[in-house]
Amino acid sequence: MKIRSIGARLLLLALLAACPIFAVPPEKGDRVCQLSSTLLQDSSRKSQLQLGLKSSETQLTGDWYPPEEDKWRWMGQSAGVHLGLPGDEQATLELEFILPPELLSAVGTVAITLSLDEQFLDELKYVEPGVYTYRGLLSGTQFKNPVTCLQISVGQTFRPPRDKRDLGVAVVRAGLLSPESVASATE
Amino acid sequence: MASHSSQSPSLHPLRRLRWLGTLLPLLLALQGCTDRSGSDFQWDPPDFRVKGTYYFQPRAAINNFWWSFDLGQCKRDFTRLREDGFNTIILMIPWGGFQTTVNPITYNERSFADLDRILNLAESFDLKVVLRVGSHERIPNDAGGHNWLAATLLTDDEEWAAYRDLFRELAARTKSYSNLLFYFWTFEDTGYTPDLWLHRYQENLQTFQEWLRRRPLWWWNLIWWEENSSYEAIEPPNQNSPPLKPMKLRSFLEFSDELLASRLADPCTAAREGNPQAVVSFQPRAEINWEHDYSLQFELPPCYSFVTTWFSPYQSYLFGDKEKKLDGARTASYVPLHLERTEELSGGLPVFIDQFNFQHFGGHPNEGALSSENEQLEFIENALPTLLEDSLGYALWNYQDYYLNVITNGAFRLGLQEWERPPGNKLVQLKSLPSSHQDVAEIAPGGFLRQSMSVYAGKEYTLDIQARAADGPTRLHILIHFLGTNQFLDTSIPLGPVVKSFRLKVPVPKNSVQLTATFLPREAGQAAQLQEILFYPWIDTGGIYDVEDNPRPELRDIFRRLQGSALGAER
Repeated sequence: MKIRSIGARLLLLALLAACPIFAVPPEKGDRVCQLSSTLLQDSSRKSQLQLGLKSSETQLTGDWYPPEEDKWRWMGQSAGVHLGLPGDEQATLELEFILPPELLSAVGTVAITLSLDEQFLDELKYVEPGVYTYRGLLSGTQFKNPVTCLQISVGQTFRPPRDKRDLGVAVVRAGLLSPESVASATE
Repeated sequence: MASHSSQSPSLHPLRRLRWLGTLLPLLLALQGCTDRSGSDFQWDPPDFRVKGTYYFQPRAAINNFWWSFDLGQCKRDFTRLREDGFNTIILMIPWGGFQTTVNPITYNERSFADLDRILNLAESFDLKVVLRVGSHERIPNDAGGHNWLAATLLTDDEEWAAYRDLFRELAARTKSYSNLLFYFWTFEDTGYTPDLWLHRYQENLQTFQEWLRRRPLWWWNLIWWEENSSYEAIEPPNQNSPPLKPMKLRSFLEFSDELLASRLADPCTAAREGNPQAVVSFQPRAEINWEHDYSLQFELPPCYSFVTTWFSPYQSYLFGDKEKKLDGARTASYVPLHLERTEELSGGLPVFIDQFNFQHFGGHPNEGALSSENEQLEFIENALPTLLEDSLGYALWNYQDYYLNVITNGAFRLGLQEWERPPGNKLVQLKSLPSSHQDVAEIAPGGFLRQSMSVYAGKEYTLDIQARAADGPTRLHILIHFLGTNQFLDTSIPLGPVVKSFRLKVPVPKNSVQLTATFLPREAGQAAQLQEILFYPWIDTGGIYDVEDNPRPELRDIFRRLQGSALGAER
């Protein structure tokens, strides 16, 4: 069969793209950090969040479970946090999370991938249970908007006994800090 | 097992002889008094006085000096030292920093070359140099104990022979330097306060038990109020573990003193073997603990030219003043008494004060101290003229405050020593950068470098690191585990082709005194090159200049005035 007209070709391509068999399935969590243009300019967003507080929910997106004991909140496979910039171009990302022994027993090595505004930032691997504070030094050029979205994804979730949830890590807080308060870089 | 005294002392079979416990040591002490004629040592010219300071740099302090010092900084410092009226620096010669192993004896040529550089530079600034030899901030790889604790040096003949040889080697290698004034060593570097830790080492315990055999077992049982069945059953005293037994602790100190005294002649003789003209001194412990005054340590063999001691305000207790907040003028009045005491104990030897401390760093929280900066000035104003008149001179513990770097070999001048790394040598390699004449440690993905270190609980530390990516951009992770807790701090820094300096704040939790720091590049990334790592809290040591190089004007001015800024025709 020969398709001669341009209009017919375009129509066929559109049909193929719409067909579920040919469409590329999005990876789970890939769209976690899709932001509306209004939100991108919303500079009133907090730059530091306590995930254990219910009030943090307006800045969360993706697979999150309800907060526990006002201290932490479990995420699933992939979850996002919208954070306002701390005021200047430089910032350090700080993330506190808990890796309980049950998680390590179930998955062995905990692998966490971090992205900012859908750009890969870092990959973390841990083999010991504990309370972890991660600090990632960022360069100013990574911020294009007053609000940025941190996406946290885990390589493997686990399901504790008598629990129907698939759990990634328990996040305590997330924030963008002025670098001089924790870490800085010079030429 | 030793049998300790009964819970009910009145049941002790020898209770009627308890008075002997206090009287006999007194009689023995009297018996030990000796008449020594002293020494006629004096400087040439006789009116020369050492006006010195231990020399460290803000980022190259005690335990890291030889691996971090900067020669450019030396030049700036030496200029200012001269301006402020100082004529001498004291350099610590860490035992393990210069002698890498004791069996066989090996020496670190790089350290000796660095010493040559500083000696030459000091000479060009007309500065004299004093070497404190065999200090313990770094001990040889195969010596007993660990850095800051040469635990078996005095009891192990092989270690001692190596230690002795360091004096010979050093004196031989430095004999051509006319600005090298003298060598000294100190009790502190060979055991410090043995009542705190000596019990932890089996070889020391055996030597102690041997030493006890000089008296019948019943004697020790009597004065310690114990019922040991044999010498082997005697446990060494532990000052950290109650119940404290002052008499037993005192016996232990007598043993430690005799051990030290039995070794006293060696370093001086060895230095003279290396350089027959070598001037050597020793610093005994100028304290009274458990009513023991360490007088045996002051009885120096004739080879020694003079005795070295220190003075800190807290030592006012030696003269009956146990105030916690000390007055400057009154404390200064103890300085001539301290000189007299030292001279008497040493049988008339001239005295050098290697640490004239107006502020004591690292002391017990309850010890006496000058109550304000004004009292410090008052103390210096009144005490310094005495030292200039009646001693061979003095040195300050430090001239400028410093960061107390707790990471060892952070600039890789000792290769990868002190660093834990994966087995094999592929993942971590030492490379030389021709452009900077500096070694860097290159860590491939999957590799790591790790070091464990002691820290002050609850204190904020700073980690300075210079690093770059070896190939393409990568991230370096610095994973810190605060031992004894479940807390981890993972800092990730972006690396590019140019060397960058990073400064990280590390708050240590209140319940942790030890941590491990692991440096590793991102697993799926590129290799990282580490150039220099410092990890420190800032320490206020009472320097004339603070750690940021700013003078404390009143302090600096008083030294300038009392010392004079021109040295004239000294020596």
